[in-house]
Amino acid sequence: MVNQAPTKPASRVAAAPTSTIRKPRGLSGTGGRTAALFLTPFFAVFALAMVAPVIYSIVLSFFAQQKSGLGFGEAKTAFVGLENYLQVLQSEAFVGGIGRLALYCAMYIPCMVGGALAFALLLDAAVARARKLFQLLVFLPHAVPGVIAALIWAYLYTPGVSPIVSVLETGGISLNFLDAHRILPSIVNIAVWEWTGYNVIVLFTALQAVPREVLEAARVDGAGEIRAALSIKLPLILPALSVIMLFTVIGTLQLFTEPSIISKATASVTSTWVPNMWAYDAAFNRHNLNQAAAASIIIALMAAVLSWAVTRFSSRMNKA
Amino acid sequence: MSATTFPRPRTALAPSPLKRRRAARVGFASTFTVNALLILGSAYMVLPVLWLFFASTKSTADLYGTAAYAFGHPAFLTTSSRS
Repeated sequence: MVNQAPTKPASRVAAAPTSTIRKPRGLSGTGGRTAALFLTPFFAVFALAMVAPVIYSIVLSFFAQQKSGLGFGEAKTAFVGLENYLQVLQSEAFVGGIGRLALYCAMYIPCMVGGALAFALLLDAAVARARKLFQLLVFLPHAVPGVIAALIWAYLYTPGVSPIVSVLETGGISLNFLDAHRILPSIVNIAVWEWTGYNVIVLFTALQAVPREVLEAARVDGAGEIRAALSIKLPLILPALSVIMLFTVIGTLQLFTEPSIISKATASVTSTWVPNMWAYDAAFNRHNLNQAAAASIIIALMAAVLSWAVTRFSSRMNKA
Repeated sequence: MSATTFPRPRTALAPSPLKRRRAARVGFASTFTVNALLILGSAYMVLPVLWLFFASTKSTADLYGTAAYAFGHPAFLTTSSRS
């Protein structure tokens, strides 16, 4: 037995060269062909639906429609290089939109993620009752389409219709939620209302996977509910939290529905309030598709850079 | 697995009366706080949807004239709104 043990691997090693020559070739041959066959539909659709539009809009962003002096005759398409990008970045409305978007992120992300985390931890607390019911109720807003959510809140902000405004007025507070300087928190509130429930469900699912023996050990060591939540549960759901952060950051850059609905209810929101609305306005109101393409590419680049930063930061946090 | 374990002696686990009372007091306070916060959070989520439900029963005049969380006067009951 003792002698046999070393010989076995040796014989295997000796046999290895022939098998490595034969087996992998045969495997990679059939595997590669079969895999290619199965992967073709995916790559075909991916190329058609994802890659082609991006390439088309990149190409579009380098051209411009130029008309001759008096505007008569057909417009010519001319290559203008980075001219469109310069025009977009020099537009005060676009840069102002990026500023508003940054402010919106600074308010929305802490509110939404903090709220979702708090609600999920409360749901997971040992003393919580009727968990299924609360889960259902908190998820309800996410079942409402974004446009309808924005419409509901547009009514709830409008004086005369809104029960919130009338309750505040009987309390002696008169607030106009649609003011120029209060419109941003109002829109943040709509997004928080829409997205908190969804993220509560994600975090609560992660909390369910926290090993109960770890929590029991903490309890035996004398940790109360709050201590266990902050020192045991929170570090263990950090991966879920970082996924939420990634989706939230990408989602906030795509802010469009809520402000464009609210812009119909108040003059505080212009038609180019956020970068996405600027691109929409460029494409469908000013009929400058090339500029809209340039703006879209800039927004996509911002999303790429930000999501890279978030994944980088969260992977470092998860390692630590 | 659980069938083979011995039942724990009850007397060793029973907490002292003082400890049990403290646990009960803390238990009530935290149960109340946690569930009150859950109810508050759910109210924030549900009330706008509920408002939409009530508003969907109203005419434009009712939307401005009636209480926010009350049914409107449907058009097929009152002939005044669409005659």
